[in-house]
Amino acid sequence: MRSHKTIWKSGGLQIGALLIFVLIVQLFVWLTKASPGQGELVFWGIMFSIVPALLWLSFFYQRDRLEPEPKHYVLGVFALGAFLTYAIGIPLVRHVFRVSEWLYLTPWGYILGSILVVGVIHQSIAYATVRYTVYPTREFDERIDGIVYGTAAGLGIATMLNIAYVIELGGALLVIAAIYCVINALAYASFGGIMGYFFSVAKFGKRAGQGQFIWGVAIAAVLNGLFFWLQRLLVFQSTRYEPWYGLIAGIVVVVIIYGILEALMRSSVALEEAGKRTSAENGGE
Amino acid sequence: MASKHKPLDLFVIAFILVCLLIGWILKEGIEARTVGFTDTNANISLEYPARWLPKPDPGSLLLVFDPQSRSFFNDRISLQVARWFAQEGMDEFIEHLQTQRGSDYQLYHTISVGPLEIDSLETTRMDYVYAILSPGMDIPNVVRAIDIIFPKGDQVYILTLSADESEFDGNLPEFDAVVSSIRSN
Repeated sequence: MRSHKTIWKSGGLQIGALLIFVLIVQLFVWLTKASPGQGELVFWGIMFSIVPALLWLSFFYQRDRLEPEPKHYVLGVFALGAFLTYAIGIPLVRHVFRVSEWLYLTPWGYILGSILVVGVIHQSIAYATVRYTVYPTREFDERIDGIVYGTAAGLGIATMLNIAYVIELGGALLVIAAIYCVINALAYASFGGIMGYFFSVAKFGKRAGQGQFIWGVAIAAVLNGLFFWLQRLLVFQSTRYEPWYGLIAGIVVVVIIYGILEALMRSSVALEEAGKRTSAENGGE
Repeated sequence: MASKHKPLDLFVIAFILVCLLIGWILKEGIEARTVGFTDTNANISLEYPARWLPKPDPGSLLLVFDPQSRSFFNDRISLQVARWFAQEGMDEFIEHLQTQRGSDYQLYHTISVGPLEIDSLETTRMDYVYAILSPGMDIPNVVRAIDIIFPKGDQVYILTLSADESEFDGNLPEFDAVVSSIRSN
């Protein structure tokens, strides 16, 4: 595993690359005064969703250097996360629970609904995507694998949410769409990573079992819901439309969540190494 | 390793379903919330869904609109008051109102007029339709509307639902609830 300094340097580069991506979109809109049609919207939606997703996915994939996962597995989990979001997640949130019609009406309902509906639905998709595909396979053989696959699932979810969002905006606010996509990609990657950590604990830890899955879904859903609530509170509920507040809040939240994830990874690796040392000493006696 | 877990992770699925069930109960509870309105002059009160947002309108005692309307015409419920002349019968008032609506709206057409009793209050229900050209649009919106008309003292109250034709049916249950909530002392 690479040194912490290198990891944070790499992470900083990824965030820098994402900010550069937003600035390029801003420059493009500025120069061209672009007003895209429906076909171009789909193109931009895919571009805005794929670019941040790939940047973030590559960052986490690089963390798994000892025994990298097969790329087609990682991409498969990513694609399945996106498909399930399109087929189940978006219809459930928009058409069954119709969150846009009631979520914002009360402050407590806003927070609870964001967690219990939006967070739980999205993170259940991340859970099912990893649990019933790669988790039972032999490729899932390291603690870091849970985070890699969880991140891939999270990015798949974010990608489909981003495409839907760009198309829904109707091409009016391309820069804002780019910001939204960057935030979502960072955030959902982190939620997926947190959940993935619990998958690793369930498979390799001493306290294995369904309880770890429940903790994974619950914590990721709470973080997802709080992020959803905070982002919309700052961007859409202010007296003016302030997307940069959402970007700043998104980065702050994601940095905090990633910090937690990093700490969990380090402690779990340390525990594993300590366990191996103990068993080696016991075996040697 | 996979044998550590039940194949379907029933506890996890149960956990997710319980969360969604609580979320659904939350949704139903919030959607059922209403906001009360009282006209102290005539002691008439009603309740409208909390999700409909009030908008100041000098011509109305109350004007609330549906923020979720996808139409260029904002679906709305309004309560207006008009002068009631004692010598004027309700039929005459309705005719006068139809003439007024006909001059205010393009392609105005009355669909039906009939009596309706609410909380021992004799009212008249009038269904009608008209067209409205929204700014920047080449094709007019077709608007369907219902007036609930009832006299009180020397005034006539007109509770109106106006909605884009495509969203009208979806708004009816909420409007029916508003109509049912009318109380007159």
